[in-house]
Amino acid sequence: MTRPSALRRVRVTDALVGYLFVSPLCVLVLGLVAYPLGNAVWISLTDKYVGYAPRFVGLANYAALARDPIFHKVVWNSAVFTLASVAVKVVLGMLMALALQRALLARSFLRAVLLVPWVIPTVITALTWHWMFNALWGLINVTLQGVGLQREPIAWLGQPATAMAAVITANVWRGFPFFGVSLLAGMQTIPRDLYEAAAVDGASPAQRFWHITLPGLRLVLLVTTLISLIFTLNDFNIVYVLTRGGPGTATHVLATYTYEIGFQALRWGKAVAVSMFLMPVIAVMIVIVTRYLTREE
Amino acid sequence: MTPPVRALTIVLAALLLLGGATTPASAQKPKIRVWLLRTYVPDANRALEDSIKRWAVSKNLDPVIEYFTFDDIETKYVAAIETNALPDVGQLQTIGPARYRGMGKLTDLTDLANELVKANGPMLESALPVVRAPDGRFHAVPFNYITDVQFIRTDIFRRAGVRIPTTWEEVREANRVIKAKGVMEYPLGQSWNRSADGYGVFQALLYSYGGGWADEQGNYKSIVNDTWRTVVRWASEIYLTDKTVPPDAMSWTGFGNNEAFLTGKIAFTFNGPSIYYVLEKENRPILKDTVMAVKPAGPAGRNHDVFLLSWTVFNTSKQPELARDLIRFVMSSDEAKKYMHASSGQMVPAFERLRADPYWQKNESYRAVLEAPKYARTPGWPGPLTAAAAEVVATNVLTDLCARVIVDGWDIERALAEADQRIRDIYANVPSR
Amino acid sequence: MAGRGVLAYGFIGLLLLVVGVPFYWMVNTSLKTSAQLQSLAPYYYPSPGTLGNYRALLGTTNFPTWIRNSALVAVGATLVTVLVSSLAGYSLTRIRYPGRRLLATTVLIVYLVPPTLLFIPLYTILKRADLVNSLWALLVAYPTFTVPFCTWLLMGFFRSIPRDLEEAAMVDGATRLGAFRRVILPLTTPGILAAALFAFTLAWNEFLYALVFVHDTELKTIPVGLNDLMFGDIFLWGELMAAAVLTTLPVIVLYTYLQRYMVEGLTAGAVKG
Repeated sequence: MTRPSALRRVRVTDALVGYLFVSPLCVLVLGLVAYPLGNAVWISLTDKYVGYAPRFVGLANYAALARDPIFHKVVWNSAVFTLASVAVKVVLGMLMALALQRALLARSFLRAVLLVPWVIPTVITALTWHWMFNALWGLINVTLQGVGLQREPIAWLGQPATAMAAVITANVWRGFPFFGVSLLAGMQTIPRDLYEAAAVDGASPAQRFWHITLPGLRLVLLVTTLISLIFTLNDFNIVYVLTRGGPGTATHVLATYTYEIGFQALRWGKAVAVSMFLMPVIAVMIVIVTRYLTREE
Repeated sequence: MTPPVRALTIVLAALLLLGGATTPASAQKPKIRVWLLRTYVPDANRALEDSIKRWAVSKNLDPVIEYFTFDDIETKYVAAIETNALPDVGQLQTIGPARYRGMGKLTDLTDLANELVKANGPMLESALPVVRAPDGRFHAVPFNYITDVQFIRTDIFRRAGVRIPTTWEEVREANRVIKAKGVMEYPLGQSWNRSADGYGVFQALLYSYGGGWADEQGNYKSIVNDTWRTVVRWASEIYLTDKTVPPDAMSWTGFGNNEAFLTGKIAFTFNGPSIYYVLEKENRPILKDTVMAVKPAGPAGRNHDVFLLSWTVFNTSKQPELARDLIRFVMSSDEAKKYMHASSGQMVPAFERLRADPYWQKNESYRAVLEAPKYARTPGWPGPLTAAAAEVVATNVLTDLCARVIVDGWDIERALAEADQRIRDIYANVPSR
Repeated sequence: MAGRGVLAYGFIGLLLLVVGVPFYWMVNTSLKTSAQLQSLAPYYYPSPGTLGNYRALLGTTNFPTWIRNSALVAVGATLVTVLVSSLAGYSLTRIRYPGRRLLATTVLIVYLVPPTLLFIPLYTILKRADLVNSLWALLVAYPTFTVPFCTWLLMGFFRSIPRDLEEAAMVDGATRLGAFRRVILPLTTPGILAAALFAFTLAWNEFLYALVFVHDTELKTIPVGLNDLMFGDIFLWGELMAAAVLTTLPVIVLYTYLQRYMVEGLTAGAVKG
């Protein structure tokens, strides 16, 4: 029987092509990342101090972290910082994509200009926001006091709540274009005739968004959001430059905490353990989303 | 090829051609690697580079000079230690020799230290705990101090009728009066932040009151006592009671107080001489109304913090003799004086004969900068500078203590208990193998 | 129709303001001397403006070299990334073969630990390959974090396309690779451009690897070079902001150009299902 065997041959060739296409990724990850990752897991189980040989201590680092009230604060801060920033970025990015999709005049130019926050070196973005938030000579306070809206200087970076809002603001400013660009790209792959059919049926813009745009964007939105969650969780520069984790430990996040423990206290084992602590959470997110992305039709 | 791909290829090719090699050209002469701190005085950096290059020419070596900055020194050294990529000669910050000698990364430089003393006179007492181990051996030799002093706007002080403070209580009082008389709203620029401005000044305050977290042998000593209570009260009451500090000062990073002073928003701060450098270099209007003075004294005298840069030769160097010779040359009288005269009064020598140079008698501010290192005490005072003491400072235990009271609203007892526990944990887990 | 257009442009105007104010602040600062910055008057505009910071940046620092190095590494890393992740993303979402789902999940384990803690063992690998202290070290190291992210991003895009498209092409005699190139790629060009931009800016902004893997002063990238403008408590504000302006504008121009040719040109009409 020629047809089944021909079909099987096509399927086998197809599978081989599949393996071929994915092989560079595998080589990259297994060749360059597997060893460092394994090394990191090992180091988190030792008392590694920079300059000294590591000694196995089992889960002592993790136990110490579980007891440490500063680590608890750091985890809480990171959760607030990450979830709030990503939520705002999703909304802002979605609105940016919707607006750009509708705007036909100078669209390429607008799209590129709105990228500016994403492209500026992060350290300079953070320094600029640091200046703008300064209580005595920063743009925000000087303007507020100049137009008479405020008499006393607001200590944006000096109080825990406003300091957290400040780092979130800077992070959102830097990050929303990524969402805008990705979601816009996602919108451009939704077939136009779906919209035309809906218009014929008399659907309102809100209904079109809810029933066509959003479902069409579902996967791109999901992936973009999760990438942003992971990146924001590991964001160092913005917090370090704006507040160094202060005032006190009000904006101390995982990245600044890891830096302090690893590079300043030289306790490398503990620093790696801090990162690995969140591994189960991130692993679960990866597994769920990836399975969703690769499920059969 | 589609147009954009073609364009991209052309751009890439152009960049590659323009750039030449992506790898540095190899030299014929043997190399010697030197790590230097990039200071904010370009003339001084150039003078030192010049010295090194002249020495290298005379030895037919190729000097490879790499710079680190105040901010990435930790990162670079940690990376170099762990990847076995340390240079031959390196400059270290204050806690460097104590930390790295414990790891066995430094060579014995006792002979070199003695030679330098012979050439330049005795070292300041305060330099010894930094570069000399408890067993008497030197693993580093002092380069220069960058001393912390107090900056005063004399015109503001005059207008408020207060004198330059000489004790910590006078500092508080002077600023209270300036605010009370309406001369300036927030005259005192002192932040307990995660930087040397924070933990350095806190140590100056602490040691001047006779406080410490280690005993004379360097073992942990409880901090829950009245001396610490007094110190934390000073630190927190300037914010909570006197309100003489700018409201967001707790989030200042290193340059916060510099900018505040230079923009005329504060009248008093503790800092290294960098503020004066900017004023002098650009001949700013407030230069004539700015004076530097030695930091204040407390009941236990003047015991302040220290920033001392030192030279070392790493034990991974394949040419330790040459490395030592480089240091010997750069620290010889003539070369050291050249550096001093290019330093704009920012870097203060540790050796007596260099310190006696008339360069430092320029004005009362320069004299203050010269005198200040005499009162320098190392972290962990009155005990020796150990890795544990260095870690207490590096993990911001001291400034977090202040922040707990000022920002989080804790009472002093609770904050002291937490800090005490953290210090105890550090000392209990010191690496010693 | 017109009403909603107004809403869209209104919102874009708002975004331009949000983006523009801090950027204006950077430009404003870049045109002032440090004396002007610290005198606080005038505040909102430079008077007189000066190009001194730009001159100092281009003349006394190694800024052109930093740009060259960053551009080389970022463009190179982006090309590698786009190639590897589009092939992998396509394979993992649109071809069926055993072990596909396991592969998809495990190659993303690299997310679990941030690059800050991976640099030591990665350095060891690079040293063994004798790549240390050359830009090749970065060209090899950067894909380790850009490829997995871009693969994931592109998987989202590839998965959104209806399955029958390339199967129709293959029934007509095209190979898998041909169908990929001629049918799928044009449809996902916006997504690929987004992934390319993501990879580019990641590489453009990366600091730690560039600091640690490369020592030579001639091989500094922009983030490491900017360090030379910051001295603990003395910052060369004017030059830093001038650097911001000069590093941002070329990328914006490049992106506008790529947008016009790649997306507008290739997807016109292709979306009609």
